[in-house]
Amino acid sequence: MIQDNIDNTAGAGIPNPNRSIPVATGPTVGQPVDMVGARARVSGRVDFALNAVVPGMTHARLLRSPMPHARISSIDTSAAEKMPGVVAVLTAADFDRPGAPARYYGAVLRDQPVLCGEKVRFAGDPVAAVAAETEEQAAAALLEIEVDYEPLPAVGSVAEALAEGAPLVHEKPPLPREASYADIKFHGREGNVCTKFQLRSGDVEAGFAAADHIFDNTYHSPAVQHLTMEPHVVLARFEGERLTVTSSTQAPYAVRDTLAEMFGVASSKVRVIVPPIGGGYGGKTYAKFEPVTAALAWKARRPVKLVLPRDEEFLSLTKHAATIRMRTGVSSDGKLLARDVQVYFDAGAYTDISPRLIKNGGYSTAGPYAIPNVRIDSYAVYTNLPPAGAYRGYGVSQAAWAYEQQMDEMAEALGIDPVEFRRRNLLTEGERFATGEIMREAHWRELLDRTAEAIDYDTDRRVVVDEHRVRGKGVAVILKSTITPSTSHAAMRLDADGSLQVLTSSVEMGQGAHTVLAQLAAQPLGLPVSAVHVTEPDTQYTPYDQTTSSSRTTRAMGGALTSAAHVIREKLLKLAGDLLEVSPTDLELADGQVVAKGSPGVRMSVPEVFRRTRTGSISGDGEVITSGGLDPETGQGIASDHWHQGAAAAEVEVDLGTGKVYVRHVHSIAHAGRVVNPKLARLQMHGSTVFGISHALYEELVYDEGILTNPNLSDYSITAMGDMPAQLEVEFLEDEGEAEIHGLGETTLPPVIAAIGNAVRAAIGAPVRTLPITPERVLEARNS
Amino acid sequence: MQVLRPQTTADTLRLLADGGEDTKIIAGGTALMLMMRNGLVMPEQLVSLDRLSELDRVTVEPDAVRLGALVSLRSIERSAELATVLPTLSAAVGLVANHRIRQRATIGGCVSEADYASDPPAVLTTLGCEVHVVGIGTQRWIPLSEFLVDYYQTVLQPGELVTEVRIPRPSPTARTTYLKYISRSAEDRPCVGVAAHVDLDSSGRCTDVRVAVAGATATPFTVVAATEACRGAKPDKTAWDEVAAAYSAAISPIGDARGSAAYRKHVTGELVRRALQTASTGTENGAFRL
Ligand SMILES: Cc1cc2nc3c(=O)[nH]c(=O)nc-3n(C[C@H](O)[C@H](O)[C@H](O)COP(=O)(O)OP(=O)(O)OC[C@H]3O[C@@H](n4cnc5c(N)ncnc54)[C@H](O)[C@@H]3O)c2cc1C
Repeated sequence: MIQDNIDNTAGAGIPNPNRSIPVATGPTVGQPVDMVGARARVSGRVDFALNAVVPGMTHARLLRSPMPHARISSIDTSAAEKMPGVVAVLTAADFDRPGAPARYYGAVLRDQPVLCGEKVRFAGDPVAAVAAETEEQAAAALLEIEVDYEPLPAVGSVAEALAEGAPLVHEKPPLPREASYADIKFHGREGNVCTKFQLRSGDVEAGFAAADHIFDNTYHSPAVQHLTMEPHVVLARFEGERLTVTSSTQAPYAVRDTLAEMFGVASSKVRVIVPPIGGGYGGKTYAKFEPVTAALAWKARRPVKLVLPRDEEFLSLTKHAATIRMRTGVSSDGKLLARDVQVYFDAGAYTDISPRLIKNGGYSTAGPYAIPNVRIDSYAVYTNLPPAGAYRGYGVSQAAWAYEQQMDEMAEALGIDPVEFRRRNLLTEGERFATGEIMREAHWRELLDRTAEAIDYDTDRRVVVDEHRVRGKGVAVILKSTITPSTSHAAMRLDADGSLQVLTSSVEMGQGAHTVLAQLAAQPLGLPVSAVHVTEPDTQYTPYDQTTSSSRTTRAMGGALTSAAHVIREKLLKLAGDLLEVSPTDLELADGQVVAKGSPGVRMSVPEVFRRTRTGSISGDGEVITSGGLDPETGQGIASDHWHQGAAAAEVEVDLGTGKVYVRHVHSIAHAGRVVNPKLARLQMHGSTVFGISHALYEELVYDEGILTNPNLSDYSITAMGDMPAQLEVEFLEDEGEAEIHGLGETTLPPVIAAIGNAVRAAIGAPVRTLPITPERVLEARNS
Repeated sequence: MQVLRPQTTADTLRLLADGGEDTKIIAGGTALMLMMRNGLVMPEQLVSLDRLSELDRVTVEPDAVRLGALVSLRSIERSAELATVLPTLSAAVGLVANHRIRQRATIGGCVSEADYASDPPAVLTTLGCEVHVVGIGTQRWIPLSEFLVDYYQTVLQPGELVTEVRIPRPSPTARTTYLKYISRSAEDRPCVGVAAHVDLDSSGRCTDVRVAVAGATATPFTVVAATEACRGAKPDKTAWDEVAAAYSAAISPIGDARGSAAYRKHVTGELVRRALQTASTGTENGAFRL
């Protein structure tokens, strides 16, 4: 449902039509079940795509551009083709002919070439691919491909890309894909602006006029890489015109659709199989290396497997670098009156999912606060750098880095306690967010209070430890949306022995999705988790799911499964009711038995119901289809089917001589509604904390003239065990009784970054507005 | 590519001589494999030292410790005897990378790699370490400070092998410290490291002060004039401030991802002062990660 005729000045607000099926704690839901296959993961017996082998398989390597922007004048592959073991060499010339695949792909705009033809747009853009009997032979053949480049002036940052007369990354704005996503709209596509999102709520100028203080600050977050333990892996093979792809993707259906469009075949001709994957974090969402591997298999007429080397992982996709200028008007009693934000997300060379990310990241800059007058302009800007896309936190880390830092800066200037300042402005039940939607299940105040209390924020906010070291404390609170509208379908089959097959396209990527889905499927049917098998996503059998991303699986797929389980339950109770001569509504399921409520003697085992009715299996389908969408001019409407709410607090120690920050204590908390598996939920939150520390202090992709200077794990720094705080705590806020499930895979990542930033500011008495907070930046901030 | 695995030093030298230009020695391989992967060296032949058990020996003599080139950093760190005789070296080695690397990495590889961002060479410099270099029919002992020439460069000639290093036993009254300052995440190489050695006479005055800075310059950095000037001085803040100021003023550090040149200059002064202070006032010899 797209909201029309929105009065964006009125206080009424837009009610959110989305609800999910409430779930109660029971025999399986809410239990700390071990992750299914945990042992196999630890002992290395999980069958990742990395291990996939098929007869006749060849190995692929990609030749990449050494230049950030250049015209390709010629490519000569003749020598490479004669190299030992080489089966096929693929270039742009192989595409867009009768019977050949299309060369451009993209989830939203079809602007990314599988292999570059006319020009390259970033240092690392693929220009050729080789399939050979061994990976070494493929690598050797790459050295024999001759490419002549004519260098073009490049844009290495958003500022360069938006400068007057800047070279264009895409000469013509690429065309939108017909079958893109319902929530994505386009705006202001000219020059190097890929697209823009805008939000207009209230009267910003009047808000500033009424304000006693106006704060105007700019905050910066760098690009970082996902660094999944398992790289991108694709194995593609044709049988006739049927294409089967085994891939480490988070989005099997998006990959299927991309490949079907690319080869001009019905989607039934493309089968995408996803084994358990070794981490995603957004980096494996939408088609990535499936197109090039499939095209190579098509040309080689042999199966082809691509395992991306680590240095090329760094060129695959990044978190968006972002520069956010935030102007906020406040009354002297600490009420936020107006906010005007310009957000510049560096999209890199190709669109990928930027149009959605800059929208979600854009409206998120309003923060979890009731601000009556808001103007946001959020841009995705093309540059000659590796493409940016989905990354755990989805634009909210960058947004929260800006607004939560500024909250503390403003509180200090106003002389108001930072927690109290936030409390005066946090959204409460029934209040309007900047998009006009009415917030429900609003828990921000409680989250903030609990996290502040956990680090004893009120006392010793700044402590001098010794002649070198000071300690400081900080808090942060955030809101995050989930993809809206979105769609998940599930199917289930109860077999005659009482075991359950769950068919889902949700991907198990180490987050424990399949365990949690088994718990949700088992409960309505009175089954133990051990009676449930959750299948691997396989587009030939498992029903459609939009993506495994956006912290949506437990709620969305879990909801679809719960519906499907109820369908089966009703059919089963109907059969049993006829046999037991009891109305189905008077029956319940427990421990594999159908039992009459109140007369436990009247019962029958599930297998017996099947036997006596000669039923072979009972199937059920379920779905969750959410609605929403924002007006392209005003950004008013339903941004999120439900809101992720989180907060974090940190205590750090800063060495004033070196400027180094040591994290001592991190607490984070998320509103969970109902926790399905406390053990796995905690691990998700631990993961967010580790990412948060890493982004706050260490991670950054460094480019020099458009060339990545740190594409390896010795030059690129990430959190190690030794960096973990002595105290690391996570907490959930759960609702009583039957409650809706809220996603929590990302919720506490953004506030951990911002809380560390605020703790550093408290310690040194000056803000560091650029991430990561390196020792050098700390000293600079302190000395300025 | 061929990997040769000789069993004696003599065979090793012969293979190196026969192999010529495109032959490389490989010990633990922790540095060499990265260089190969990044295309910085492309040897056609590797001479592996892994079967040279004669080089995997620790000998503690009355006035010196001799470490065979193949002794792993992990065994240096874990040796109870070395922890007694060379406590700061043993602790500093324990701060290198992580235990997986230290399990493979050798002391011979550590000095031969001549990576500026290394910890042990600075400690070894303050201890007066010498390196034993052998070739066919040649052998010489060279002070580590002369063995290391420049970024990734030593005096080693093609065909030569490091067989051991010799570390004189420090004076029983010497107080030693190594501070490893890491500017990024925990398992990183040093941004700046400072090894300090302070010996006092019976009246508590300095007799022998040595300071070597790791990680900031091509080879461990010393300002001998500044430390010699401490002779006879009281080991107090005034003395250490002067040494720190001299080091900070004299050093021309590298700028890289771990810190700019200006930043390293500042940190050098800061850490030289702290290392001397820790050495002279601390209760234990050892190494500390900052
Ligand atoms: C991830 C990582 C982190 C690290 N962190 C640190 C750190 O924090 N601090 C630190 O100080 N160091 C660090 N290092 C460096 C590490 O200490 C060295 O890589 C190691 O000491 C080299 O020893 P090796 O036996 O593996 O040498 P190899 O890799 O086998 O060889 C290194 C070089 O020395 C030559 N060579 C080896 N042995 C001999 C010999 N006997 N005679 C002549 N030439 C020889 C080889 O030809 C090669 O050129 C790190 C390394 C890695 C990979």
